[in-house]
Amino acid sequence: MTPRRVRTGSKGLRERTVGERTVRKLATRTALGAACAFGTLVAAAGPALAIGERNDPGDGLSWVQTVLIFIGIPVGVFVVIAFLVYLPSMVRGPRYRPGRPWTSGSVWFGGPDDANSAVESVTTLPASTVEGGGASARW
Amino acid sequence: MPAGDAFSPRQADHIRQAIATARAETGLHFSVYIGPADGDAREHALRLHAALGDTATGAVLILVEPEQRRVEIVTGEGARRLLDDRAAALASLSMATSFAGGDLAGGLVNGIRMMSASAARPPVLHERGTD
Repeated sequence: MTPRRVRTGSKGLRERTVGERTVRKLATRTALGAACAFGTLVAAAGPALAIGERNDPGDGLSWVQTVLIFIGIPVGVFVVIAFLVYLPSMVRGPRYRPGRPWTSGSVWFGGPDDANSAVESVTTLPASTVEGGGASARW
Repeated sequence: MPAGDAFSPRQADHIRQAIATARAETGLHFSVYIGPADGDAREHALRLHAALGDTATGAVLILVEPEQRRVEIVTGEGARRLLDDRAAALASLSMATSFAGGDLAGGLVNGIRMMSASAARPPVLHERGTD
């Protein structure tokens, strides 16, 4: 019984001593930190305090400035990004997309000068075409 | 004939260059038509080939129908001796693959090059039929 009580007592004493020291250290640090923070705040708020002293916050934004800042800048950023997105395809030129209707008309490289009348004048296929060959493919 | 708005000027130039190079290498008259076909694509391609007149026998006509998604190659009587149907089929498949990816100009240029390379090779006469 007795040794157990002594042990708990001494342990409690030691804990209390350590606890006091820790609390004191913590309090010192907190006070120091608060002082530093307050000093920094005062220093940083210098200009604001000066305005308060002059009692002159300056003119508010006119409605033109408000519109420019809150609508003009976002719209401008949007336009710039959209332009950058579409720039590559504009540089690359028209592109064929399978499955979409073809609206580009017809092109004939290496065809006769007067293509329409040349095709119209073909009534029967000549031997040079019929005797030939070829191939076809789909996609 | 103006290149229309299907190709940019650079793309049209590439196609013209490929045609000119192929002609210089093989002596064949290559001709490329891109556009809608009246009715059947094969029949239209044959009509276009016939419309080439005197050059038709040594001409290779490539028709690209973007809406029907068909590519037709018509070789004339004389051109067929240099460019057999098997080589034409190979080129048409290669072109169709490019067209399916949306690359009309690149597919045409490559297809013309393939046919030119195949036709420029001397024919092997001791093999079984050329078709």
